[in-house]
Amino acid sequence: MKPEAIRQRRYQAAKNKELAELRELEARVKPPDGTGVAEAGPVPSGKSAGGAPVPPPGTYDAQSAPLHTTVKVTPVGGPERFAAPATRAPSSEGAQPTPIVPQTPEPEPSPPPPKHQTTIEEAKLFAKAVVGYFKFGTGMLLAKSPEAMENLRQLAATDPEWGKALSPEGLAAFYAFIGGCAERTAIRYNLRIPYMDEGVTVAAIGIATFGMTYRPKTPGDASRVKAAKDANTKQAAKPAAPKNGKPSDQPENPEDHPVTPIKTGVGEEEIDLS
Amino acid sequence: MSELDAQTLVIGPPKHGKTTLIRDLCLKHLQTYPTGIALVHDVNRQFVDMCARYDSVDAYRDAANRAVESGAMFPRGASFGCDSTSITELALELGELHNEDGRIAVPIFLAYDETSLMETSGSTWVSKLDLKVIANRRHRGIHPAYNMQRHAGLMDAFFEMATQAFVLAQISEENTRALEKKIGMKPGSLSRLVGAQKYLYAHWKQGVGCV
Repeated sequence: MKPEAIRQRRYQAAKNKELAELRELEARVKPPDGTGVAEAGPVPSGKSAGGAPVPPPGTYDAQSAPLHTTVKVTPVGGPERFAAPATRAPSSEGAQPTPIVPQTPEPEPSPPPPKHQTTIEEAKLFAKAVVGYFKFGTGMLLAKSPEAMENLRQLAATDPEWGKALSPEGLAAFYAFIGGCAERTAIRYNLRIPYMDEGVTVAAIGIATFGMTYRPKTPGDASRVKAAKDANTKQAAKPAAPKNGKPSDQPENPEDHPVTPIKTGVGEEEIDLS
Repeated sequence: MSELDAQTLVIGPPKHGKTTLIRDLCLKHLQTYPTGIALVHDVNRQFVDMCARYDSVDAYRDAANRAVESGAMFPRGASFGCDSTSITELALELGELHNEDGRIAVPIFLAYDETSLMETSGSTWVSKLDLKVIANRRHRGIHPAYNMQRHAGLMDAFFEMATQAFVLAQISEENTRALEKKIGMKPGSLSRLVGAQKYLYAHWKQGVGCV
């Protein structure tokens, strides 16, 4: 007989034996009238038909089951009594032992903060500053060049196109064009007025402080200064008294009579009237 | 049934021995499994004589890593005073790291000494985290144990998946009926526990009945 066939016959025999034991078990458990729920009865000792250990007998009727009493147990030796190595044996030869409790992985570094993006309000402020600077600069240029100013007036008067362009409406449109370009440039290249907030704050505080401490000159100050000046001048022109009492015929040398500066009382400034 | 995939419920009024039962289970786990660990949500510090005390899961990790570096022995029981969510997550993490079905290298006993202090589940909701523990305990080698004063403290999912229950004295027949229904016992099975004395309990096991 071939080995495979022998194996098949052995398997079938074991299966038949298993089935027979199972039928016997069912017959013992099933009630005779076939009604109601099967109640746990005596089970064969040792192993079951499948070879697994039989669970201890219990009952679904808790009325007949015993009640237990809790027993307080206090272990001796503390937590160290149940201590063990903090690593597991490696799964394969040559591998490192695995820690039972892995360390929490380091959190990934947070990404760098995004570069500042110019807001619309900042761009508009930038544009206003550019237009204001343009107006100031061109105004200074024309103030320094009266001829250029005159040429532009004549041009505006003679040429209607230039007249329209240099009219208030034309200039306003031109300024708006500059402002628009500046605004788009600010957004595109992320520009803004540097230290604008700090500068405005310092300027506001500075101007207010100056206003509180500034003392304007009173109307009497000017006349006091003039009187002191005149007095010094007259004293300088008066001939000096001779040492022997007789008037001198020679004109006086101003260098012989150095003039002492007179303090007019306005601030602490000294006015040299020489 | 193996204890490695058991789920235990302990139901009873205060001062009737619930924590004593959980302590007994914890002790048996540590004694039975040489590589087993116990993670206990122990706000009231009732397990500090068998488990090392930690204020947080991070402190536990640090202590374990110091033990690895120094080669010192590390207590296998841990009693936590922090939130239960992080303890549950730790148990799942360790279960996924060390265990799989049929090969449990680190059996984990996960106990909640008072379920009313759990943030994850309550009388009207079950969190996905707890469902993950209940559904995967066999694969993760986790034995969760829940200690509750009222059967309504946790939802039916915990009772349906329980493999054993310790029921102490109950205050009324209505309570016992509801509990019998939830666990799957015959009506009247727990009637003896109505007004029972302290420290008396019935032990029910799934597939077997009261033992």
